[in-house]
Amino acid sequence: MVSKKALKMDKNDNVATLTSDADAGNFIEAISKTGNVEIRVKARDQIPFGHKISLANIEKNGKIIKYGNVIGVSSKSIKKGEHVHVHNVKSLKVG
Amino acid sequence: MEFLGYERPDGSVGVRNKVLVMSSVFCTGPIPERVESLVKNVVGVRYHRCVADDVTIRQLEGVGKNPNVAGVLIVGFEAGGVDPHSLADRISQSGKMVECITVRGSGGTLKTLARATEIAHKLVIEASKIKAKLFDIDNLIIGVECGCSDSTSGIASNPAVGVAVDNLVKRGGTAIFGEPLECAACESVLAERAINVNIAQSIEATISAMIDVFNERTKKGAEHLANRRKSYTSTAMSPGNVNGGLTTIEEKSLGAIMKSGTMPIQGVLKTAEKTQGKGLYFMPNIGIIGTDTGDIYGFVAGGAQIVIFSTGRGPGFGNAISPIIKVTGNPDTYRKMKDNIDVNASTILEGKESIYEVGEKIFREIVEVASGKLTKSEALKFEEFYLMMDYNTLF
Repeated sequence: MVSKKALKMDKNDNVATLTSDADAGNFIEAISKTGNVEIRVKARDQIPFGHKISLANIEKNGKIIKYGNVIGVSSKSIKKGEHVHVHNVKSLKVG
Repeated sequence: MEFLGYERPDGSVGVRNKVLVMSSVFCTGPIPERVESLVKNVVGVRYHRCVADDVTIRQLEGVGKNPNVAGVLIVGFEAGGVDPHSLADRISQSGKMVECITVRGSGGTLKTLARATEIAHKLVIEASKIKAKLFDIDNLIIGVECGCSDSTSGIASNPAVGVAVDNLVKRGGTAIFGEPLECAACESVLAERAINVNIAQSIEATISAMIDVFNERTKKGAEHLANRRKSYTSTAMSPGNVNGGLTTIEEKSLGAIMKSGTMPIQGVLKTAEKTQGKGLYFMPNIGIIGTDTGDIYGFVAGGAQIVIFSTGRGPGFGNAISPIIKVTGNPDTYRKMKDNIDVNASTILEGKESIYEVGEKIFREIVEVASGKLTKSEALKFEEFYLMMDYNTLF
């Protein structure tokens, strides 16, 4: 089965951004800025291109890290492989 | 690493060797553009207003002092605008060839046109005697801008441009970035990169001032639109952003900031202010009105010899003084616009190249363009120049 790819922008990130549409059950390879496969996760949801997948289990109110920085906190617990977006993340700056 | 450039008397190094014919007030009419059409290697820049505010003076002086300019002819009118003689004096402090004439002093429009053409003709021949030589790339100043962004910008072109910026700065070069509104909600992330507390405070104050300016203007301009009265920070995320995968303003801003790389920030510059040393600088252009990508003109007036433009949708413009290297991460944009886009970063999304590999590719392109390779927009003669306006001088 062909793996789909996602970009992991920093080593501390717990999400990666899909470079193509993925279906639930697809294996996703998270690629670093240098092109290495850092982690491989199974998508639990359908996730469109440009959207994010969780690379770890994240507790409710856990930090969502992209680019090595906090982009928001989880509004509910998020499992590894889930779609990470406005339905389960809120901004810390605008509420 | 070296590039082939043109040495200027003030020690700066041009990557192009142009002659500038610039008016100091709109009363001259289109004399600069007419001379541009008649004489090779001339850039005609018309100052399109008649006020003499600080931002305008800094821009005219800065454009004249840009290292890509070998010689300057100022065309004044003897009424209004910026004083042409003092402008010529300030530019000539750089040691380059500067001449100044006025329309009334020359005895009318036709005589001015003839004199301006004659002087420009002489200046380009003089300029052509300056031989390109090898210089270290630490002489380069690049402006970094993004525009017409889409969901590929924050994950492909901006991070790859950031890698190229880091590369240049690590080798002793200089880069300038702007767009304070796009740093909203991430003031502290940038401030942490400042070299000292004063600059950190200046970065945070600058970004919040820009948000205040935005909020103030949208209130004034659209009193009836209740949603426009909200802070920029709470309205910056559009439905299109969310559909594209951006979840929060923090994520959107961090994606924009990626183009500045990761190096320490040496200072905050006023519009068109020259960098005082090497390294990375922030030029926020607060309260300045230009085109959507007006920052570019501030960077060029600040001395940038090359501009990197990271884009999703791929606009077609160029710049008359400093070549623009365009980079897109959107494969569809690259396919449709490759006659006017220089570097394809969409290979990152296709899994063919890493962000670092594309960053290296952009860096090599910077060095090649510095040595004379034409950008796509230069080859098309898409070479425009505009001056930005201080919002406070409009009323």
